[in-house]
Amino acid sequence: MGELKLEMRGISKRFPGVQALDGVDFALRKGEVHALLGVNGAGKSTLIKVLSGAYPRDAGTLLLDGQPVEINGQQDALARGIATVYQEPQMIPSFTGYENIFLGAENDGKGTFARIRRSKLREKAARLLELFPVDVDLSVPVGKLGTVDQEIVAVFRALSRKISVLVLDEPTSILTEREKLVLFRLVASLKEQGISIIYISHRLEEIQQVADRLTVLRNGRNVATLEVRGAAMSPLKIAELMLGERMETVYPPRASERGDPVLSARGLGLDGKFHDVGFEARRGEILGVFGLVGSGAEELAKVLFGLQPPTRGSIELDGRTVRLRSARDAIARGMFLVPADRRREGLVPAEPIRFNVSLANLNRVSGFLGLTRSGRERLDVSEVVASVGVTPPDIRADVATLSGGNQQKVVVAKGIFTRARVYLFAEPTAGVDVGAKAGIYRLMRELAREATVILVSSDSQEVYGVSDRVMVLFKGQAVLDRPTESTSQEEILLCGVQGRV
Amino acid sequence: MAGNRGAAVPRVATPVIVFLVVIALVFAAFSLLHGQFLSARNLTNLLRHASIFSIFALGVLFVVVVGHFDLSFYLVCGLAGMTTSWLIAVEVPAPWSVGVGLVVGALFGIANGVAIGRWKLPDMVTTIGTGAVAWGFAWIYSKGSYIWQNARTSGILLLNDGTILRLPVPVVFMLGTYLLALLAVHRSRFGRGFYATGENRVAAVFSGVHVEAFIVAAFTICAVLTSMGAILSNASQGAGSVRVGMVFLLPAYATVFLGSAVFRKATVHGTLVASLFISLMLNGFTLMAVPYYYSDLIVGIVLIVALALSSDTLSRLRESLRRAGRRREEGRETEPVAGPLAGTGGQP
Repeated sequence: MGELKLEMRGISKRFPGVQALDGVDFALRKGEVHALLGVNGAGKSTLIKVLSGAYPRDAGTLLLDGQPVEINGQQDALARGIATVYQEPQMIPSFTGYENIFLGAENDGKGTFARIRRSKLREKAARLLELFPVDVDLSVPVGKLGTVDQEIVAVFRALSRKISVLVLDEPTSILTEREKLVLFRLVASLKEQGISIIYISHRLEEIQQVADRLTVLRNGRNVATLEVRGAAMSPLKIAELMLGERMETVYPPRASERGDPVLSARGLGLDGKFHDVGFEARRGEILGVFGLVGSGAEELAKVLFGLQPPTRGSIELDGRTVRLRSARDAIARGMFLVPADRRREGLVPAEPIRFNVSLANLNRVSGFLGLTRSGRERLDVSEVVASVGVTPPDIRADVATLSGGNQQKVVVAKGIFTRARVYLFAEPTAGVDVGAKAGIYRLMRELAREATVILVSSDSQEVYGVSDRVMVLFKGQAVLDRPTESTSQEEILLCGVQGRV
Repeated sequence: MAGNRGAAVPRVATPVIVFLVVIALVFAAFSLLHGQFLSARNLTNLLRHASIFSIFALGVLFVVVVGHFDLSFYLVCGLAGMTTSWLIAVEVPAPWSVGVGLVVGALFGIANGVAIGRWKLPDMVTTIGTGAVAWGFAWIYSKGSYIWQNARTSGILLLNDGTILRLPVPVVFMLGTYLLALLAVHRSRFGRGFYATGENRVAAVFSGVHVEAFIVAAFTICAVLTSMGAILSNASQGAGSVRVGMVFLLPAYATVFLGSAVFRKATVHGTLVASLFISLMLNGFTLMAVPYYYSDLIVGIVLIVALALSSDTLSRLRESLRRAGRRREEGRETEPVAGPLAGTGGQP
């Protein structure tokens, strides 16, 4: 048990503007389940990508069974027995479970045109099921399976090769009790076969049930490796380890006074995503909504912006119930969403800044017959772009050429250009470097002076740092709703990961 | 700012200049190869043909800008043209006949747009279907033969033979449609909507752009412009034919993509310049009695080369080659420094 299967020493990885990993040591014993914890951006996925060969590392050594190894790409990692199952496994929905498991290896390398013997595949799948008894039907198309069953098929796909290290990247978003049992039983049988598992998760209670040890990453460093079944394992302690010292300096000061309610929700629900969510967002303040993937926070932002109609409850704008039919509708009523995926949802990258900034409010730049007033547009867009601090402020530059932080500022400028009264920010600082982060927080605070700002984020630190009032969603329910002064970072994080303190 | 603009010009202008030179060379070559090429008669013909053809290409441009394809226009415009010719044959006044023909084309455009923009059906397969429907209807009028009755007396031929301010009518139509398109696409809010829809539909929705309306509009504009082209073309032939649009399918797409390769984006002016080039080539080939399959072959090659030049894949390939080259150079510098620090040398 004490023997090391895998060891990573002093692993470093830098991205432009971010030191993602800073000399991380990590050791994995044979046949253990080792949980990897950390807040968003702590370096968990980067570490896994270095291990699975998706990223080259800048420094450090990798030892497999005590031997130093180089891993060049994911095929190489697989050949060495290291398999990774990602959050959303890539599979062909119309193929059955066993077809997906043996995809690309259907005929044991007998040549491209060798006949595929389904009976043989089924036999092999049955053998896998004997080894790892799990209650899942491999003969139906995976598109018809639930999320967990799909994940299990993906795990089986990894197991169809000879592997000794399995990485499960946040395998559970929302699990029913039955699904949890199925998954945990699978993990237990993997352990019995001597496979070492790295289990990435936010959810402390699950970790307590499955893991032997855990490692906490923070700011690209390993801050602690602990035995799970020991006195050291208390949720509060783990939360403290994950959060570390507070970085107050990055965040602008909070609001001093509260204005009138602008946007409020009553009993808002979307089937299967969230239910009975209510809040009042006031002018002059930032309302922070913290929720991890699967908490319903992401969907809440989309419902508030009219991208999806709610199945229950109502939204009120200035005390009047509104039914938002589309984003177009929401924008017309003075709302704007800075979306989570800015490249896909926020920008037209092949077009210049000017095009992007005025896109959501073309009324402002067009006159007779809809003809654009170029001079007016140039002036107005330049002013807004300068006010958000895009550098350089050249409005003819194509958005694709800008850094992540600048791109995000362009999206914010686009919102300001609509003169919105309600700004929704979804994951506004994902993939943005530290300097630009502070700039975006300052912008949000400035916007909150005249408008109301709602921040929806899976980053508990930023929700705590930026908001005047905090709401936490867990499995679709608001489990905490309080002014920020009367809560703590630890409380917010714990409510988000386990629903209570 | 001024310095910036100076730096940006060569990037766009070089291919444009090269292209204009190529057009001049092709023009010179045809003048040398064939004595009749420079005759007034041929030049007027060329201008008329180029005008009609460029109207077809302009229609296709709209559909390409919103990120779709229309494989029905060359048959839909045949139906529109046949409707006009049939109405003239039964003694409906020419303006009414033309109007109804255009409306029939527009209805097919709307149907395409709603099916593709709203119901999200696949564009190519859907338009193959609607095209076949139009083709079928067109045959009902004519049983496949030409309709020429009353053409001479109705005044419809003025669409080809007439002049306005000394300019042949097709040329006036071309100038008019291009001027309107230039304003609509490059100088108005609507153009922003068309491009945003085509370049990033999701972001366009998030920005409040009514993408469905823009897709319907693009298919409708395409159908109406190509129907107008078909009616002009029928007027130049003196009779309506169900096959009128068939010769335009390939060159129209070749034109739009050639224009977008040269101007780095599908634009109205790019389409105009490219359509002049393509119709110049087609006219030259006709004069020199080059069999049609050679000209198809050449235009087909132009289409594929233009597609390759304007696609992202190629520029991505170029970029990755450049990056690989840079990495190789860096690798040479850092290789001797073995050990755990090896990688850090490459960091800026």
